[in-house]
Amino acid sequence: MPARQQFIILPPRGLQANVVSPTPAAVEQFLTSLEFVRTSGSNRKVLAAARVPSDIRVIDSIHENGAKLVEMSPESVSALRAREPGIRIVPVVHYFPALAPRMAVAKKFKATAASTGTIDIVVASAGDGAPVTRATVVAFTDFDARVGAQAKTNASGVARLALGGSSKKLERLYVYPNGGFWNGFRKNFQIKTGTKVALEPIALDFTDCLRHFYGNSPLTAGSGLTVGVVDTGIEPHPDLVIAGGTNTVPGEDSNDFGDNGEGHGTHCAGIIAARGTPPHGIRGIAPGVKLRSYRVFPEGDGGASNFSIAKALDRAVTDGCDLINMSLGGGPQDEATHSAIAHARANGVLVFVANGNDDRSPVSFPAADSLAMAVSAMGRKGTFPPKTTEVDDVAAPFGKDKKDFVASFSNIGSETDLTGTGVGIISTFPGGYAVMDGTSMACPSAVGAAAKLLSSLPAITSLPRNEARSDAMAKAVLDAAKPRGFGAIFEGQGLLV
Amino acid sequence: MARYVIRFTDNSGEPPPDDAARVRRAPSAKIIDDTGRMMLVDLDDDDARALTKSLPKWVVVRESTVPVPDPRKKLRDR
Repeated sequence: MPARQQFIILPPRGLQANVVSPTPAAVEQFLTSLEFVRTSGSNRKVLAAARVPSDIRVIDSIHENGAKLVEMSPESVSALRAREPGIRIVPVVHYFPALAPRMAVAKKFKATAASTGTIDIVVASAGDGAPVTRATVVAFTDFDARVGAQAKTNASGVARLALGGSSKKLERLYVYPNGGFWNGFRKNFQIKTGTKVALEPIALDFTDCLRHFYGNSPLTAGSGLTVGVVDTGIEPHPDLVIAGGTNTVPGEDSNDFGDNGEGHGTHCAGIIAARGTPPHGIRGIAPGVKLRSYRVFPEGDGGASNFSIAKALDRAVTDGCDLINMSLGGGPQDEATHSAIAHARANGVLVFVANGNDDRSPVSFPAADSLAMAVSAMGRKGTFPPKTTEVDDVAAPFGKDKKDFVASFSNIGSETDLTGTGVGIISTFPGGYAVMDGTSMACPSAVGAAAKLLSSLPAITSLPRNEARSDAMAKAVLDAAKPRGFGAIFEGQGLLV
Repeated sequence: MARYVIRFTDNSGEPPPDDAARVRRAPSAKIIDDTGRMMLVDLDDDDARALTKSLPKWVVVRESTVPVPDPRKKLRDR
């Protein structure tokens, strides 16, 4: 049984209902119920009468209809977020004196006089043996210390690794192609100059994790809804129909909302809305949605600013988006981004955000924002070829179906609302197709599934665009999700299929 | 000087025009972008602190960035 923790339960804005802005009646009623529990004692009869989870303990309150300090389990947090989507639930945080961090000393690979030199390995297609160019090869001689060498393959598929000597035992070898192939992975692998690493070409009719759970959706799935992808932009692609968008990077052409070259946004877009048919194309989960692109990452390799992100969210709201995908995050909480998410929510728009890929670290911001829909990543054994990096993503906990697992890279925590398919996902990429992994892929899979569901619920989507609409959409999505058996901090309410 | 994001946070209404004018009047202010409810502004820290106090319905935060998510394994920086 996970340990109980302290949380603060708040209205959507401010510390007390109806002070900063009008509060939905259901939210005010729930906060008042908690006050009743606090003053009457948390016995079973009182909790049941107030329709409050049975393990909740109300410790303190700032007002009858205001913020409450409570103690409960992560399971109850997840259940409460699903039942009362209009409230904010934030973990209690304790601050400590800011001590200077200690510097970590990285171990360098030390070449001796006898071991200078490089090793050339060849990366080639497992299909026709053709060289794979522009693939990133990362070779670890000591994986725990992250020591080794890295290189890109040239026109002949050769990667020159500065490892010293004429042969080397690698603890791990990762090969990341620039689209077209599955990633390569080898463990305890002896290499010498001329060693060949074969990569599996992507077959568009392969049943990856996403297609295992969602198959090939009808082209009408998600129709009537508009989805905005806030990312690196979406590149024109035969499988995608892009209705419009904007570039919110200061100083760049606002009409340039194509991909900035990373391919990340194009991949996310295909997971939601690709309209191809295997084996000649791929199909997303909700190909019937109207797809819009909001580019927040600049040309080159710069990061997305909080201004660009907030402006993109505002524009997506103005453009009539119903759902927004944000496969990005990291860094401290930012009030501008929080305000933009709250603005979207207040205007009937749900913002889905990837949990982050920091190997089971806490849910990153803005996914951790209480008004965002936070998505972790799961995978499934048997939905990726052997000798691919996806093998390395398999980790406990496993689900009720033992083939299901939570990706080793996925961040977790009580803020998690849903899990999504995020290991070994085939999708659209500039110039073709690519396999990618991450909560970045899980997030659009949740968005696609949400769009598919909500397009069948016109009573909700036809509501006026306000907080009640977004709360109703969140509740419908969370109610429809099914736990895979990982536990709430790993999957929230589960997978929406 | 630093680059700040100044955003109106009251979702129940539009920002008062006087508020935006107050930002523009800040001695060091150089407006980079303005969407109506949000501005990107180069400001010195004293002006930023003054605006934080005088505009209670706005947030004044430094511009910050996040990289493209990338779960690929990397060598440790040397």
